[in-house]
Amino acid sequence: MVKLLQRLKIWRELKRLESKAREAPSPTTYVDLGQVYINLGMHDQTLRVSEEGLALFPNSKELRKLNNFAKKAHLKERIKDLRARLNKTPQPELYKDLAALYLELGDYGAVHGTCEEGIRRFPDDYGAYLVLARAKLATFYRDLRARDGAEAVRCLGKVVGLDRENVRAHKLLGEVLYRIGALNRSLHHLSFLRKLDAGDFEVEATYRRVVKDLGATEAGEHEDLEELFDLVESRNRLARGAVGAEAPRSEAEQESEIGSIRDALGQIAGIPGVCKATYIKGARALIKGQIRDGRDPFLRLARVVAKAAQRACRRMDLGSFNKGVLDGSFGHICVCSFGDVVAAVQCDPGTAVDRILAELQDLVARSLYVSEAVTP
Amino acid sequence: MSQINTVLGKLDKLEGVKGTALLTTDGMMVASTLGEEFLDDVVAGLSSFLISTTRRSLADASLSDRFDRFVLNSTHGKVIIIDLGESFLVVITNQFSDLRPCLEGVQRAAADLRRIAKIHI
Repeated sequence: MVKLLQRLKIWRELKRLESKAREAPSPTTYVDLGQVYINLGMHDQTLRVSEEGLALFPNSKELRKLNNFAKKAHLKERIKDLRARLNKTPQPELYKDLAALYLELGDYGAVHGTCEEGIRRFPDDYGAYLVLARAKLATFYRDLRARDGAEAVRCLGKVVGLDRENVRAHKLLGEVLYRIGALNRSLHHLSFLRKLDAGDFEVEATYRRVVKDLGATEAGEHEDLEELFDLVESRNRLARGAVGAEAPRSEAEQESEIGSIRDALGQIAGIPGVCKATYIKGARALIKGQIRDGRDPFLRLARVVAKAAQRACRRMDLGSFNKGVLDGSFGHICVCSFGDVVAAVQCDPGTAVDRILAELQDLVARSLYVSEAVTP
Repeated sequence: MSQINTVLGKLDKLEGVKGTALLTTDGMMVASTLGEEFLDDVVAGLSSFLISTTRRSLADASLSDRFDRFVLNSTHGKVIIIDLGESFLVVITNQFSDLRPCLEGVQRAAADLRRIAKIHI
């Protein structure tokens, strides 16, 4: 009886905090709500609350801590479940999933052990090779040890050998080869990816960068990977930085970047049928059309929907969410996202969204290229 | 139930479709043709999370308490979610599939599923 009363009290408190988070959102209300879910052992809900909170308050340290804790607890639960299933019926998919969870948790030893076991049992399945390559890449980028890098490239080569059109393996190869300075080899993988899917921003940005760097350097056709990896280890630095990394910019450069984005957003808002348009980067937002100010609920809607779509696509193993269209009695809501940039538009029912979506995609891609162009 | 499976099976044969699922609004899987690539409970849980979050955000923005269709594009696939009232149809395709013919097939399947639901009531 006492337990039942306690539960009722907790549920009532939960209901109160849920509506408080919705009516007066702040990092504290989300953290309080997450704490109650932690006490109840409902890690799924803690994760949901922390991600919803972070979508609105991306710079909150408390919410970041809550999110990390929820992620870890959630991962441990899933690992326990997968381990039990693996002991019952070993399958290649299970080995891949388990190793991927260990990787997310940062337990590289367990990743290695799981992948080795998976590869030994199912040598023709690429899944374990791919996770092992990702783990080796993570340690290579962290410690810059030539052996880890070479091993990652070997595993990725295995993946491509078993599954020629594996987008993820080609992407990882394109990036690591670029960063150690093997530009021609990197270009080979990126060109292949462009043929497979021309609309991938990430590939397009890396491709442009490699072509630009190839034009600026006198890179020979012959690229000895072993030599290049050894060079990275001895110099203790990579030959090239990450493509998405931004260099510090002057205020004038930042202003001109924002100006060009504002103009492009204004053009999108001017398309017949478009009533609201927004461009959000981190905690900042530009607005056009029938939007009152930065507190307009449409901004929150764009942030939360983009975040939820990103999470769903990633966890369903479908990669990164990049665009989406929501249809209903309200008309159409187009959302485009890359990294921490979200661009969204609301338009009237019956508006043709193809052009709007293309313009939005262009806006997001342009903001990526602008920041990239000023990177030395 | 066999009628639902027939509709989903037909949808599954469309070019580029990797799997389909019919879910209740609270995330229970009614029927699915998801292959080994996807886990039923993962797709059900994440779709339900996405649907409820989207619905709540729309309601918070005073737009509506539901949506008709949500099409998502990601680097390795596309997801189409159709609101059927008491349930949701979720279709996963590969990233290269042409959505135009696929959406026609999905809308037809949605109409069939609505009709089947009415007969059952």
